Amino acid sequence: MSLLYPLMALGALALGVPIWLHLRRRDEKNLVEFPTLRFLDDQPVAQARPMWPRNWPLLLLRMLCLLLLVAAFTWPYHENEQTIIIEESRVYILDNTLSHQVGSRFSTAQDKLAEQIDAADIRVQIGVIELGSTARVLARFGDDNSAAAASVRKLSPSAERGDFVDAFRTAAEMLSTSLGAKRRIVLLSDSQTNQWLLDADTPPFLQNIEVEVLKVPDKSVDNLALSAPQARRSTRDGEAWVEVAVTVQSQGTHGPVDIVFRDRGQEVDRVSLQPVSDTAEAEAATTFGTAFAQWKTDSTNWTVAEITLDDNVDDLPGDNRVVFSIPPIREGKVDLIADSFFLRRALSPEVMKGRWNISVADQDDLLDRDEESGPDVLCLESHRLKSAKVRSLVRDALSAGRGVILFVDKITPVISGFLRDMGIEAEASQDEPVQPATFRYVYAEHPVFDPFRTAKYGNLAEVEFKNYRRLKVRDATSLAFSASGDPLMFEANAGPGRLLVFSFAFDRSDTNWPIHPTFIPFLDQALQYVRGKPATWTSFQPAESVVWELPAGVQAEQVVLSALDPATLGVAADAFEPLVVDVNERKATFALPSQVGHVAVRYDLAETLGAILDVNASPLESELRYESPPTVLAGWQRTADNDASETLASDEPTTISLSKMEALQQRNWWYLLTAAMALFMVETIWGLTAKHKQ
Amino acid sequence: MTVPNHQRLMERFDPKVMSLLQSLDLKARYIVEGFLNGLHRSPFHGVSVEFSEYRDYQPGDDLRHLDWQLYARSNRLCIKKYTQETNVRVFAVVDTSASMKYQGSDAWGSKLEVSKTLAVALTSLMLRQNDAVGLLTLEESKDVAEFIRPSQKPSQFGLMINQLQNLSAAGGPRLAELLQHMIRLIHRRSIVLLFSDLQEDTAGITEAFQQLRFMGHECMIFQVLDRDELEFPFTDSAVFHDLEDGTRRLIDPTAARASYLSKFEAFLTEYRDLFQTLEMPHCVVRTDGEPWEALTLFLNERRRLM
Repeated sequence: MSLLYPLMALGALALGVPIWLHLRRRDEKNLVEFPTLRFLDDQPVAQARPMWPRNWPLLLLRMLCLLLLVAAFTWPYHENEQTIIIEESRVYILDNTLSHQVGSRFSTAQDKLAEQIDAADIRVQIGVIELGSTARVLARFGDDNSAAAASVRKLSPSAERGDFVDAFRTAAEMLSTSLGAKRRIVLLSDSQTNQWLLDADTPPFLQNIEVEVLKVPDKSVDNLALSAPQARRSTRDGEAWVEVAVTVQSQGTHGPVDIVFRDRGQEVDRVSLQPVSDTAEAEAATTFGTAFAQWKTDSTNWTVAEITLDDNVDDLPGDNRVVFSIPPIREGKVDLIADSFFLRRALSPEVMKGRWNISVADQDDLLDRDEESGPDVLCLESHRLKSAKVRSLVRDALSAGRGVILFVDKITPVISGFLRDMGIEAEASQDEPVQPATFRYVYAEHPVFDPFRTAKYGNLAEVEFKNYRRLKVRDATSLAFSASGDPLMFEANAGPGRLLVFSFAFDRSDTNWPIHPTFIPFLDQALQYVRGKPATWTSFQPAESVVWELPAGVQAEQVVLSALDPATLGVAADAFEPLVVDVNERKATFALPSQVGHVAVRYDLAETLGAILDVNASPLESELRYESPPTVLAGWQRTADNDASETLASDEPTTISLSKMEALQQRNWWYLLTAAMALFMVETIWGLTAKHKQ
Repeated sequence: MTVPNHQRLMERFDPKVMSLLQSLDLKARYIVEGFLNGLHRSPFHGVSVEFSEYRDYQPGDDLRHLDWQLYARSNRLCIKKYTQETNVRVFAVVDTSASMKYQGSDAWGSKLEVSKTLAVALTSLMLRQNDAVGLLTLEESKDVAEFIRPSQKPSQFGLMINQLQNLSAAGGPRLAELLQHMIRLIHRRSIVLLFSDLQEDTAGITEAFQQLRFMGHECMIFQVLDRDELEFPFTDSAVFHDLEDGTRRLIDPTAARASYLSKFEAFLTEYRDLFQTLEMPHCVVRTDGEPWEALTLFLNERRRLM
């Protein structure tokens, strides 16, 4: 610490204070203040009051107290042999995406980074960011370098795909609070071109930060990769088949490729693809070919399959495997509480066998079901709502996440009140005849209309409506209107379950729809929609964040994720540890593992599979083309040209300047302060005791 | 007027009680009430009052003022009314030099505190009989003398107490200066009550007292002294520090006592002679003793002046 440092002067002053106080407060013994000393003028004059400390221990105690106080307050600024003058703050970004595994580049970069951290000068602050699907900070400034190096060495290669800008922004944020005069980002990456191009339009954000991109070895790369497969289950001649198509991408020249398909761990098909004959065309091509396969399967059980490139040795083995799964077919349960002849025929077992299991309720008491065996869909006509039991049934179904389709064939005050609860208002003029109508305006993007965007299943515009109930929206979504603007279909927001409301009944007095070709397909589509199946999207990328919504009818407090063993559908032993995630408002949020494979979803502690998530690497990671140095980086740099108002940082080294909070967090500060307070207490007690004795 | 029985009064005074009383008002009341209760009859009854008229008795009137003789004569209940004479103006003058803050181990207050208490007590007595009372002080911290014009209003008592309470002793001798202020400020013939330890050379203040006397003022000198000053009871050698001029002397009390006492006696004698010459009543009030003598002196003198 310099003698010219202001706190030094204050400290010296503070040391002088106790001496002065000690001398001023010293009690003089045998001193008598007397008013008539003039009658004693013949007595000798006493010496001047000696200004010399008498109680040395007390003086030393007081000085020690203040010394500790001064030390406590100057401690955070005290320079000693351990004080560091930070000359450089450096953030390493280690690319841990799939493409960086080419030719063991990742492990090489990993070792190099660990060595650099170990060998780093003490005057260099080091932070480490791992770039996976997101930027993860492995070590912050101030963390121990050996710990940082250890955390780098612990990293395992991932199949993730990430964004450079995310990592650079995190690094810039770290550097914004750094101490070094020189601020630097060192990128250990393969500089994949498409990875840079993702954020080419990002506005400049790197100011006074030097970026170093380690040079990528200039070497041609040969690679074959499987893209995400397209698989479906079909039924032919009463037998279920799995049909799969998978694309093989290539880079460089390759010979024939064998693609192996495995279901439940057993090889079920093998396809050989021949390379393109023209060498020039082959080198330019990115698609090697597409392999198709099909095999019989059990439709009542999960299809858990993987596709691999057999005996293929290329530079990036990580993209030679893809997985997919197909859930078992399960008949939907429908409780039909309607009198419509056409509905009963359409939903009869003869028509809906294998798709829907229909239970027709002639009487209300037939509808008693327990929670487990409840229907997926409740299909009813409004006149049955006069029964309180039916109304309760509908509400329970909706609150349990089940679907309801309601045909409004009659309006009574009770039904009107029920509809109001569902967000639909029945107009007063129900008795007035309506003009015959057709669908005029349709919410075509809605899933129930998906099959009817083409003419494959017929034209919905041909459907006529002779009669319908006049309803209007209060808190619902209108899906279709007549030419006169009257809503004919609604989707109400009445609970977790889906509720479709039709302002007519499937009766010939209301509409000719039951005899139109679209009737059965639409009914099936509507049932499928309101059934509330879980999200069909079960294919994800490694380490992707997922918001998983519980399917209808499932009540769970936790979602358990585990690696799936395809053979047994149990937990794979050599994969990641099972992950338990709490469910909040029927949703669970979690991050998937960073490797390719199947992930089993189970609810609470149930043994049965809830779902299987397929985790496949992004095909973009297989495009092994590099750009070094990346031109995008220049656009990220803030310079005087693009930001003249910014002032440049000083080139002088910066000493550590602590914030108030950082100073308070120092243990020594508290120790010194506590010791000073304790000594002050001793001093006070000592002083009081001495005074009492006198 | 009956002079209080000194022995009876002594029984009514407790220095410990006095030292426990914090408020100047309470101290003064303690002294005055004790003094009055010790008298056989009120010192003021019949003093400076003249019969003015009769009026009919009204229920609730003080029966002491009922004229029984008239009742015997005429069978009428009448109350005597009196007019009190109030032609006396009294000034309390309090010395605030640093020596006045001395308080010996046996004293119930410092010399200044005793002076203030006596001043308030006498003010209380005077206001009870409608005398006009004023105050004159001169503190070191203030350049000008604090002067309260004499008045016989009841509120004057609070004014006096407030002023006296704020007095503090500090600085060197200034009695001569205080007397000069008094000479300039008091023009009508008045009674001057001086509370001081007179720890100054007589040369400086003799002239002032002579002027006061020449102007016709009646001065009563209450010389407030501590037992330590009068008897010099110290035994151990010590450094003595003068309160006014800061002189420090190493004193062996045993050796110095005889010399001190003789000089102090000479000092007292000198003042006693001066006041005798000037015909000014003078009494020494000890800070460890009862204050009745001062009050008795005052009453006697007042009676004489009336």
